[in-house]
Amino acid sequence: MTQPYSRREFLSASVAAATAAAVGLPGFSFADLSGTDDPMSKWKWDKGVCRFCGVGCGIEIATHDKRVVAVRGDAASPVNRGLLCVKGYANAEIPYGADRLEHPLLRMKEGKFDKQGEFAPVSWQRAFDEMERQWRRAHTALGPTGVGIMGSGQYTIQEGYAASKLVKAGWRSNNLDPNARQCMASAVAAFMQTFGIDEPSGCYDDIEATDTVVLWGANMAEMHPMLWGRIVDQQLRRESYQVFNLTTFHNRSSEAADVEIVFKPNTDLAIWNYIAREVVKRGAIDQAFVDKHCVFAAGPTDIGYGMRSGDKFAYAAEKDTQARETEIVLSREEAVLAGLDPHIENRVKQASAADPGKHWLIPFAEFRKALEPYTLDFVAALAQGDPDEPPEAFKQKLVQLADQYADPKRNVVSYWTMGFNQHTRGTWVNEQAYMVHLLTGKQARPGAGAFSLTGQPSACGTAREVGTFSHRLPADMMVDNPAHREKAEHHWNVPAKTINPKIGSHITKMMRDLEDGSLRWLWVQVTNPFQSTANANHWIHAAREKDCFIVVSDVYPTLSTKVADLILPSSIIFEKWGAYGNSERRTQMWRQQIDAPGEARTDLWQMLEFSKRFKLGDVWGAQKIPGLQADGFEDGALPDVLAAATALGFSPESTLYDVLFATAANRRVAWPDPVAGGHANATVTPPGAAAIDWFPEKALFEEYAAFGRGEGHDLAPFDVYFRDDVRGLRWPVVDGKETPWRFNEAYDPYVTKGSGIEFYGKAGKKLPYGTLAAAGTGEPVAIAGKAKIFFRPYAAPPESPDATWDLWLATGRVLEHWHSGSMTRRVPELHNAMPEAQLFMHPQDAARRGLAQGGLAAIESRRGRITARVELAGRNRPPRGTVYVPWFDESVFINKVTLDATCPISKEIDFKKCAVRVSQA
Amino acid sequence: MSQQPSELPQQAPRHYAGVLISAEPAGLTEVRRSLDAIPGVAVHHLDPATGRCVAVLESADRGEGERLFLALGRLPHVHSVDLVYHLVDPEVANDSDPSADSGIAYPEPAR
Repeated sequence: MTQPYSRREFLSASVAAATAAAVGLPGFSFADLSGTDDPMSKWKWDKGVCRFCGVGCGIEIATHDKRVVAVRGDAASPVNRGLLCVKGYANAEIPYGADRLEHPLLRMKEGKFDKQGEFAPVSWQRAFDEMERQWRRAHTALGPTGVGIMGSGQYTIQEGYAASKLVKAGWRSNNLDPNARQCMASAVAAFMQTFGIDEPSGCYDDIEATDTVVLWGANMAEMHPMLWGRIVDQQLRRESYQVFNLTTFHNRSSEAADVEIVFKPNTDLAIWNYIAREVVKRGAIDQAFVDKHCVFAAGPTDIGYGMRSGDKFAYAAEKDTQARETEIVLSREEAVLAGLDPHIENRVKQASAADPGKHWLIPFAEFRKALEPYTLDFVAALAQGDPDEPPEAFKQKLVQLADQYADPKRNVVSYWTMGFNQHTRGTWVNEQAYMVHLLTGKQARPGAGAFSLTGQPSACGTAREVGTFSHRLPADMMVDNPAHREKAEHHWNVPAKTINPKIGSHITKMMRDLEDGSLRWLWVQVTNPFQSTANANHWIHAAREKDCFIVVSDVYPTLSTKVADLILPSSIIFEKWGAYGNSERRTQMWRQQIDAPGEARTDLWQMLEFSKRFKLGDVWGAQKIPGLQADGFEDGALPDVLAAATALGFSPESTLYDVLFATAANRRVAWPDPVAGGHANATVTPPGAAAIDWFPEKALFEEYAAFGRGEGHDLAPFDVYFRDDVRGLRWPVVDGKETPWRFNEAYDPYVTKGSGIEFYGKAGKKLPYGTLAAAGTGEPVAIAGKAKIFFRPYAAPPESPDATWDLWLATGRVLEHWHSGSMTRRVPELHNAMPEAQLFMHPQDAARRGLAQGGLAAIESRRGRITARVELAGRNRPPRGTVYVPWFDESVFINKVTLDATCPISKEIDFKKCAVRVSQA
Repeated sequence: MSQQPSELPQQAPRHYAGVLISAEPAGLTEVRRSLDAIPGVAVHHLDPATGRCVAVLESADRGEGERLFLALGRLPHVHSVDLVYHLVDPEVANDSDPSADSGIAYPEPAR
């Protein structure tokens, strides 16, 4: 056949035609290419989901000759409607990087494992042998709490479920926690406390249905571009559409916002209370909504900052900050708000640090009284973040913001991400968003709601819904709730009292446990915690120098593989079957498209294979659990459940693989399956492995889904997600119908007919009445069907700038730095991309320190020191007094500087504020 | 047939990205001029009524494509740039693509 065009011309024209057709632009068509030898005609397309953030964009993947050759936005996806952001680029090529991990690597010296040895390739058999040997060593010395897994919001649903079952039912350790802890744990805690059930009531359709979008610590323009595109589209179409951006520094989202409000770190807590005060003062409460659907609540304020309570492991310079975990001196503003004399030293013991989530009901009069000090003048003086902004202008913007929420005719959606969640009062500030939305009745209706956006592709679907947190079981259940344990044990067909009732270590505590020697075996999967955890100097030294064994499963080398003792090569997204759940409760699945390189294996296969190495006799005998105290359990011990296991038909010789995974029911889910349509499955019988001859991804999904069906978390049958007419479904999925808005009778089948709105979550729905200052001691009152409107006060952070450490440091991401691409073949005319993470700072702050654009600066805190290039005119422009450094660049390791204080309730680190000094390097 | 970039990259392109550029309709002519001046960008379709434009970005490696993409978003009058279609030519070797490299050296596996 003649070839009138070069291959390059043909491909370019074809891509142009496909793009134009997808977006509905007329012009060039494929017909113009008739007569060409079309290499694309042989490609095979299948639907999937983007690998790279919590939005959950639909994509289609083309494969040819066992390679991914193209990716396009899925025009049928209601999330992204055929469009993708720059992150979409990586889907097609992420499997093919030059330094892909393809073989297990073990630190060796003279043919044996040696913690000080060099990495050498080993077989899977040898890798698992050492991993098992080290596991047994740690388990023998410390019991179940001596071992743990750090998982991820990038786990597939099935991987997260397998990890949860292995750790909680198999090993009887609750030391399983995801990197999602550092992403949205505060959102989870606030959902649970406010609604009694996790995850948003609304969905992305709110963007088109609302009148006002308010971003609170969410730079959507860079972090959630596809949703931001939908917002900007509305803004361009509708004159009345308003966008507010609340932030601690000018960012890309500010450029399109109608109003930018730059506030001082932590004062979002005060701004919310100002808005609530205005709502009350203006009579803008939706009284019928509040009376019918809400109650008022409060909790202790002396809850600490999630740091260690002692300073045994603190560096000398850290000790003053560390001491604030047990006692603080109130700031002037905190004293005023507490009704104390701000001119004297007001010391407050952090007496409620052990039970920070405790709360109780209060009368509305108490709530109103608590809001009184949050006047416009007081809050504006406290919260103004840019010292160069005229105070009256800042005040005016706060009034404008309050106007939006107080206007009964306007729908408002509040979005947030890490600015709220990574906050030493993260749970509180999430609850304050609900406070205002509930007061004004702007919740659980189309276009009206407070909505936590997630950062990872399955932070919702896996970390939260499956329950890969150290305190959770599937479907919002808790390990410290006897009824929940009983239910999980029943579903899992394991003996009563198998599950450990003591909450395990959250991800930051696991790092601390490594340092203090109470955790000696750690498996890291699908995450890079040694780079992403604050105060990293401690944890890297612990991993390398303490008596511990670190396994890291990953696709590419990372800083965490660098500190590991054993590296396991993993399959990446389209080299396996999987499912993700996005921010709007949409569950999406994909088939395996290609084979993994070398000996890389799916994470699911790794867990199933490793589980074959444990017999019930190893793990289900009596076990010591330091600190365990629970009804029905001997202090500090889990009982021997082997006899009960025998009654269930198992023996001490049964393996965890047989008991937990290859159950009779799961083995009936056969592979191959018609839903595969000829696609392979690398978890099933990979070369050289003992047979897994069933369909683990389908069987484990169905097993997991059984937890949520009938409980408000209903998922559709596995096969439904692969139907051509389905682009994911938002749970609960009942009778084949998804639920766009929860708690609203018009959309949610779980709402009692005739009630209109019903907040039917079950957790924490029986509480006594108290006052602002004191917990209730009377009879608990049932509040079924209602949401809680919390009063939460302003609280100063544990560390603020002072004479020595005189600048605020905030960290986060920039779009270019979601991976560290190297600069090749620059485009000089347009060069704005950043070859390395930079120090964004105000020109005057730089000048005072003798720093200029591009100069090398040292950034130092009580915890560590790094260097970075100064950027004075980038898209992130901090006000005087604040600097900003992205965390994603390993060569600018800002987490050596950051503070590992957390929200005491959610245990999520506050990466957004600590005190530093900056000088010439 | 498509318009060719004003200056072609020296290396055969491996990545072809079909992008939708949304701009102020009044600024579309200027956007077009800017796009024509950028090596590796070929404008294929313009819709003056809506300010939309379809272009193809050609690059030898993914990182360069991403940087081009991000750079287009900073052009005057451009509201947004969306990726619609990304093709990786399997017949062009990727031995020069360092996009996914971490820079951390590990020994070559030996069996």
